Amino acid sequence: MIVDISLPLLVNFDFSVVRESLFQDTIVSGARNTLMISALAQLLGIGMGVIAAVARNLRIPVASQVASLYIWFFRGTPLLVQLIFWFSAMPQLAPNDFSLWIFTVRHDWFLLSPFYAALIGLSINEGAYMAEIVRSGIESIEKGQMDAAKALGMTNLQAMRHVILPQAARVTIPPTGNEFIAMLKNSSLANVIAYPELLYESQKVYHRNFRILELLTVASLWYLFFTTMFSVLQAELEARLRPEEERRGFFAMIGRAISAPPALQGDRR
Amino acid sequence: MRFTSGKYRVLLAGLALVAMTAAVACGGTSSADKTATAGAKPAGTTPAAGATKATAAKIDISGVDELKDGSLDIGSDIAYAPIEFFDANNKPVGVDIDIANAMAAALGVTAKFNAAGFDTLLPALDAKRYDVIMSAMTANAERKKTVDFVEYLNAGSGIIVAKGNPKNIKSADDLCGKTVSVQKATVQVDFLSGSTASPGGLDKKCKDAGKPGVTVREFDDDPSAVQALIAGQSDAEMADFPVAAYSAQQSGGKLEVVPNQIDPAPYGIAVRKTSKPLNDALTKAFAAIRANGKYDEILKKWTLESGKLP
Repeated sequence: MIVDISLPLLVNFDFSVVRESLFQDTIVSGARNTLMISALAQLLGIGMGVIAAVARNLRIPVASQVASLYIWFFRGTPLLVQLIFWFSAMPQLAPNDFSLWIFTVRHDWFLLSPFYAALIGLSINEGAYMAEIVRSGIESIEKGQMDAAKALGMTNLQAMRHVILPQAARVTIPPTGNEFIAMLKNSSLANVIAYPELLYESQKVYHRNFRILELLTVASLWYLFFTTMFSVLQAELEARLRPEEERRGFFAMIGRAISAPPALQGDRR
Repeated sequence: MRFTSGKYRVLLAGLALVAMTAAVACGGTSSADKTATAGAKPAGTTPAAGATKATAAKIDISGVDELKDGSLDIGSDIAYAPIEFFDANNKPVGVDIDIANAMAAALGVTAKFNAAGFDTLLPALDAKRYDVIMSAMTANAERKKTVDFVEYLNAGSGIIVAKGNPKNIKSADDLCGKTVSVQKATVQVDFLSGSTASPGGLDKKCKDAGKPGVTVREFDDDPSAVQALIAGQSDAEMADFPVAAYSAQQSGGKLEVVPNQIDPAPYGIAVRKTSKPLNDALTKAFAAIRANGKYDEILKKWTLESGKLP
C-alpha cells in the first residue's frame, strides 16, 4: 500500500495527484507508446548498425564511404535537431506529386506523421551509434577466427555471418543494453514533434492542473519502471551467455530470484 | 592501503577533472553574465527604452515588495507576433511590451521582459521567478484558480489554413475530422480537446454530432505549430486571432486566416494570489493609461482597436 507523504517540508507536493495520474488512461497510453517506439527504433537501429558496421569492414569502396558518412553525420548532430528535421523540415524538401514509369510518387508520402518521424529519427540516430558498438564487437574477435574461416573456404560475408558476428554478439550485449536504456529516455524528445509519448501526455495533464512536480514524478516513475525492468532482463541475458561467471550486482540478484532454479537448468543439459 | 597505487591515482584524476570543470563552468558563467548585462542588450531581457516618469499624480508603490527593486520583472513567451516578438535587433516589441512600458511608467518603474516557454510561465510565477506574467494569456476560469489577473485586452481565437483553403474550413465546426496544430498549454488546446469547464471540447462536440473527432497536435511554441501547417502536417492552426491574422499576413501568401474571432475573452497580466498590493498597483496603472489616452494610442498603432476592453 502507498503511504501518503505529507511531511511539512513537502508543503506543495500532493501525493494523491501522483496516485490518481499514475494509471490514468492517457498516461498509460503514453507509457505504452514510449515502450513501443523505443523497442521498434532500437530493433531498426541494431539492423542499420550491423549493416553500417559490416559495410565499413568489407572492402567495397562505395559502401564503406557511405557507411562512414552516415555514422559521422548522425552521431555528429543532436537527436533533437534530427527529430525536428524529419517532422518539420523534410516535408518541405519533398517534391510535388510526380510519376516514375507507371508509379506515382505522392507528396503526401513525405508528410511523416509524428509516429513515423519519431521512428525514423530515433532509429537512424541509433543505427549510427550501434554501428560503432558492433564494430568494436567485431574487432574484439581475434584475427585468427577470420583466418580460420577463410582457410575453410568461406567468403568474407560467410565468415561474418557464421563465425564473427555470433561471437561479437556476446561482447556487444552490455553496450547494446545500455543503448536501449538510453533510447527509452531519448524517446521523450519526440514530445516536440507532437508524438503522444509519456512526457507529452504528462505535460498535457500538468498544463491543465498546474501540478508540474507531481506529474513529472509520475513520468519518472514510469521511466524508472521500464529501465529497471530492462536492466534486470539484461543482467539475466548476460548471465546466461556466461554461465561460468559469478553473478554480481543488484539487477543480477533480482534476475536470479525470478529465474528458473539451478536444478531445472541442470536437467536441460 | 597505498594511496599511490593505480586505482587511487585514477580516482584522484577523475575528481580533479570534475573539480576543474566545475570551477571553470562557475567562473565562466559569472563573467559571461557580467559582460551580458554591462555590454550589448541580451536577447531575453530589455529595460523599457522610452520609460518616462509619470507627470500626473504618482501611484503609491511603497507597499509593493516586487517593485522595490525599481523593475517590473515580466515573464513572457516572446514568440507571439504581434503581441510580443523579437524585432530584427533582437529587442522585444509588440502590444504587450508597449502596454507594459506605459503601465510601468505610470508606476515609476521599468518593465523588464524575460523570455521563456509559454507552458513554463505559470509554474515560474509561482516559484517567484517573475513578478508578473504578460504573455497574451487569456484570463480564463481554469487559470483564475491559481493566479489573479489584471485584464487589459480582448481577443478571441483564430484559425489559419493554407492559401486557398483547400479543406474548406469556414468555422470551428468544419474542423471535425481534421488535424489542427496548436501551442501547448493555450486556451486553443482547451477549446479543441476540452477542459474541466467544457469536457471534451470541440473533439467531443464533433463525435457527439456523429462526425469524426479533431486530431490535435501540440507544439512547444506557436511558430512551430504554424510551421507544421506550412509543411502540410496539419490542416489548420489555431492561435489568438491577432496572432493568427499576423501569421497569415507574414507568410508571404502561403496562409490565410479564417475571418471571425472565436470566443473573445480578455488577456490578463497574471499576478500571484499573494501579491495583492502589486495587483492593486497594476489595476491603478491600467486605469491611468486608459485615462491619459496611451491605451488607445497603442491599440491604434497595432490596429487592434477591436480588442479594446469595454
